[in-house]
Amino acid sequence: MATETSRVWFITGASSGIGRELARQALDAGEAVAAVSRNTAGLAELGKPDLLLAVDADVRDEAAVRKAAEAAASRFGRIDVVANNAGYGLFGAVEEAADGQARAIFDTNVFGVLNVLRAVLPVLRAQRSGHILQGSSYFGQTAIPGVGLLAATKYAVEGLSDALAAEVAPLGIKVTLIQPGLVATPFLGNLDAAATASRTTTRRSARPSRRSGHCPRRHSPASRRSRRASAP
Amino acid sequence: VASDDPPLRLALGATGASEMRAALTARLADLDKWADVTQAAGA
Repeated sequence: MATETSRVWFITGASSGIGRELARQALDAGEAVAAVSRNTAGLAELGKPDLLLAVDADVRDEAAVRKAAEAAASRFGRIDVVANNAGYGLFGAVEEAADGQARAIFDTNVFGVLNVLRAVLPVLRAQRSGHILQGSSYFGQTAIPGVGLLAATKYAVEGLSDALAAEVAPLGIKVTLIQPGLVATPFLGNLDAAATASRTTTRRSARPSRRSGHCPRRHSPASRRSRRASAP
Repeated sequence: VASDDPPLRLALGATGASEMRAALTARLADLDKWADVTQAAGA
């Protein structure tokens, strides 16, 4: 059980990137963490086993996420901060994204976010408190060539979060959209390839530069692969 | 999360923040530029 004064975090996408760093900092501060991930194998390295609950769950699996929230509330007595962080990026021109790729990124980045909200809100509502950190991106406010599908999911999260914030404010629950730029996480280092259309007009690659960490500014769909990465 | 009055949006990183500012400014400029058409469309 967490102490009266320390917070209890519920973090999705906790195995890497921003999620893992959040978990590490919270644990270092003596706060309790329910770390949710499809791969919890490396979470024990964070230490503080008395404060850490590692839960294997895929945010696309509503039942698993609900069980994760119940486990967190049961172990620590409450949930104070929800980092709705799990997600990934898909890099490639809009035209290149196959139907399966488009639906897959919405399944994780939008419907996964909704699954987490549905799982934790009963706990927060009962407490009349809590703070939800919605994982967005600066691509939730603007988009550049090559990030259309990623941006579409983040715009969706921004829209639903605007409404959510107003809906839950009377219940004492706060919502903040976190909009990172490109940061030093496995976002660019954990890329998967996906087949894309070849009918393109230029031969420039759409992939972000690993060296600079920035996406190219020019439309560059000619790559035969669009790129997928865990999202900030 | 320690704030009693946290923001609805929190940009992290100077590059992203400047990109967002440019995008939002451009959006406002479009709204202003086409205000006559907007108003003429009624409610």
